[in-house]
Amino acid sequence: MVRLKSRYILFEVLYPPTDVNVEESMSKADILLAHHRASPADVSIKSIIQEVRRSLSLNLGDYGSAKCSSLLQLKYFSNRTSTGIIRCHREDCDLVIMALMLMARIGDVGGLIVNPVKVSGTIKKIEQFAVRRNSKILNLIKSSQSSQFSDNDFLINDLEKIENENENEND
Amino acid sequence: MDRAQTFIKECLFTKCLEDPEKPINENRLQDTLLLLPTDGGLTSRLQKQRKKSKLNLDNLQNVSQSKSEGEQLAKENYQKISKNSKIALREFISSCKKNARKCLKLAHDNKITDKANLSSYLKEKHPTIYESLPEYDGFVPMYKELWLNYIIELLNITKNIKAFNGSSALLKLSMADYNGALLRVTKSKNKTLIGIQGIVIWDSQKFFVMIVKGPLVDQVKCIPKKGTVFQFEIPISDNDDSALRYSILGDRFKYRSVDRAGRKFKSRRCDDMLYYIQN
Amino acid sequence: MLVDLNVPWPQSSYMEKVTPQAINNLTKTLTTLHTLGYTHIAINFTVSHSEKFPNDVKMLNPIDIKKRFGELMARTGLKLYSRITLIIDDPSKGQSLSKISQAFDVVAALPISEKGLTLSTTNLDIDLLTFQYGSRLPTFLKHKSICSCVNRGVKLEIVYGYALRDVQSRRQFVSNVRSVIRSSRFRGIVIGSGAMSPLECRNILGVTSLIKNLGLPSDKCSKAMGDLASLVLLNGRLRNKSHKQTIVAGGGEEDDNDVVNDVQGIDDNQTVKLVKRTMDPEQLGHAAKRHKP
Repeated sequence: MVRLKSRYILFEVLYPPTDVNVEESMSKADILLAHHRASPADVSIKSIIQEVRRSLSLNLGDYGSAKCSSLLQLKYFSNRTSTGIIRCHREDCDLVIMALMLMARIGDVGGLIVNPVKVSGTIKKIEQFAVRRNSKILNLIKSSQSSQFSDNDFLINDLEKIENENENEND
Repeated sequence: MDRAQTFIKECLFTKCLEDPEKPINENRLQDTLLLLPTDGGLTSRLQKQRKKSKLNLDNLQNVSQSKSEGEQLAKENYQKISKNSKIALREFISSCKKNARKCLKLAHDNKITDKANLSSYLKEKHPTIYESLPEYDGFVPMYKELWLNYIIELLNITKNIKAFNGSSALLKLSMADYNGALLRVTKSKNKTLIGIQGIVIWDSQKFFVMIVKGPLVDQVKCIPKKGTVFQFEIPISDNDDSALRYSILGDRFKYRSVDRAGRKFKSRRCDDMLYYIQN
Repeated sequence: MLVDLNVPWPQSSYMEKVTPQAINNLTKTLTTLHTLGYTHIAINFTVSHSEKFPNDVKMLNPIDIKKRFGELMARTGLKLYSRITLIIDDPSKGQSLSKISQAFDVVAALPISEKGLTLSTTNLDIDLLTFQYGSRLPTFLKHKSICSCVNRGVKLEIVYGYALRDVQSRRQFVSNVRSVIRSSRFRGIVIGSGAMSPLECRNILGVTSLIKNLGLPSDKCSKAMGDLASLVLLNGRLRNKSHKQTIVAGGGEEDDNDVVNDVQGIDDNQTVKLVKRTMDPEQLGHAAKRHKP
C-alpha cells in the first residue's frame, strides 16, 4: 500500500517596520517585537489561500498551479500570532514554498514578508516545532523586558489551542 | 606432418623414449617439481633494504674530521652531517616518545599521581629512563631569553605601540624563525589537537616538533602543520600584561624555515580552510 | 553561520551624499535580515571602475561601519563587512585594484561588456563575480572562462532580489541564473539578497527552493548561503589582515576569534591585535588538563 504522501509547511507573516524610524539602540527583543505583529482581520484563511493560488499561477503558470493545487490546503492560521500551516503534495512542496516566498501582499494588505520556517511530514511534529519556536522567541523577549510579558502571553494561549485542535483531529 | 618430423619420431624417439608418440610426458612436471608462487624476490629485497635504512645511532656514518681535503670532500661531509643529524633527531624523538609512554605506564602501575614523586621513583628504580626523558624546564630559557628577544628585536617593538607598523611586521613574521617559540593550537581539523601548547624544538617542513609540559611527564609531540592554526603572543613590555597576538595558518606555512626566509608567498583559493571559521 | 553578501549601500558614486533617511532604511533592512536568521552581512558599495577614486586610503571607504552600525552590531550580534563592487566596462580606463582592496573586506566585479568579462575572469584579483540579473548578460557565458575563474577561487554570485521586483526583471533573472548555473557546472555559486528595502529579504528556506527550481542541486543551495559565502569573507579578510595567508593578526581559542568573526578586535589601520597575555610557559601543555585545579 502506498499512502498519499504530503508535506506540511509552517510559515509566518512578518511585518517589517516601514513607517517608523528605527533607532540605533534597538535591542534584540525590540527587533523581534517589531517584526512579529498580529495580522489585521483582512488576512484570513480564505484570503491567504487565494493569494497562494494567485502567486502560483502568476509565477508558475497554468501548469505549475494546476500541479500544486491537488492537495493544497491551509490547515491553520492564527491572526494573533501570524503563523499558519499549509499542506501540499510531497512532490510540489518546493513550488509551494517558492510561491510563498514570492508573495508580496495578501489581499489588500501589503508590506509583509511570508516567511516559510519549516517543512515536515506530519502535522504533529510541525505543531511541536511551532510551540518550541514560539516559546523560544517568548523567552528571548521575556528575558530582556519582563514588563511587556503580559502583552505576549496570548502566544502561549494560542499554541495551547493548536494542541487542542490537534487532539480533536486525532479523535 | 613433414618428412623430417617422421624421421625424428621413427629413428630417434623410438630409441630413447618409452612412448614415441608422446615425446613429452605431461605428468612429468607434477611428479618432479613442486612449483610455488613467488613474488620475484621482492620481500627479501625489501627486508634487506629495511635493515639497511633502519635508523639508529649505531649506523651513523663516520665523518672525517680533516679540513685540508678538497671541496668535494667538504660537500660530502656536509651531506653526511645533515643526514646524521636527521637520524639523530628522529632517534631522539622516538626515544622520547617511547620513554614517556613507559613512564606513564609505570606511574599508572604504581599509582603515582605527582610529578615530583614520579621523578624520584624513576631516579631510584629506572635511571636509564629517567635520563632520557625530555625536560620542559630545560627549554623554557630558549623561549624566554632567546626567542622573545629575537622576535622583539626583529619587529622593532618599542613602548610606543601607536607607531608600530602592522603590515611590515606580518611580512617579517612570515620569514621569522620559530625554533624556540611558544605556540598553541587554536583551530584544527583534528579536534584532539586543539589546546596543545608547547615550545617548538624543531620546525620541519610539515610538522612542528614541540615539547609539551604534562602533569606527570613532559612529552615531545609532532603537530602536523596541515589543517592546523597556531597562535603565539609577543609581550610588549615586561611590567605590563598586554601582548600582540598572531596566528599561523599551518596550511600555507608548509616550508622549512630555511626555505621560508627568501620566499615569496602567494595567496591561493582558501577552500581547504573552512575548518578555520567553522565552529 | 548564514551569510548575506549583498546589501546595497545607498550611494552609487563618491560624489553623492548619503541621506539619513537612506541610512535608516538600510538599518531596517539589516534588522529584518537579522530576524530572518542571518549572522554575517556585507554592505555593498557599487561604483564604476572608471570613476575617480579619492587618493587618500581613508577616504576610499564611505561605509563607516564602526561608527554607523557599531551599536547595532553590539546589540544584535550581527557581523557587518564592507564590500565594493566595481562595474567594469572598458578595462583600459580602470585603476589598479591593490589600493582599493585595502579599504574593503570583499572586492567584487560586475562586468557589463565582453571585454570586462574577460578581464575580470582572468586577471583581476577579486573575490566575487556578479552580474546584473535584471538585464541581459553582456555575452554568452562559456564553461571554460567561468570554470577557470572558479578554480582560481573566485565565486559567482546570484542576487535573488531581482526575482521580487517587476515582471520583466524576474524573467531576465530566471534566464540569467540558468545560464550562470550552467556555465559554472554547479560549482562555486553563492547567493546574496541585494535587498533595497526590508520587504525584499527572504530566509534560507525560501531562497533555497527558488534556486533549486532553477536547476541548482539542493545541497549546493544551502552551501551557497553558508560555507561558500563565508569562504568569500575569509578570502577577503585574509587579503588585508594577513601576509599572503601565512601569518594572521589576532586569533584565540574561542569560536568567534578567527579573522572573519573578529570584526572589532583587529585594528584596521595597524593590523595588530592587542590582548591581555594568556600564554605562559609555566602552563600545562594541554587545555583539558590545564583547566583542572
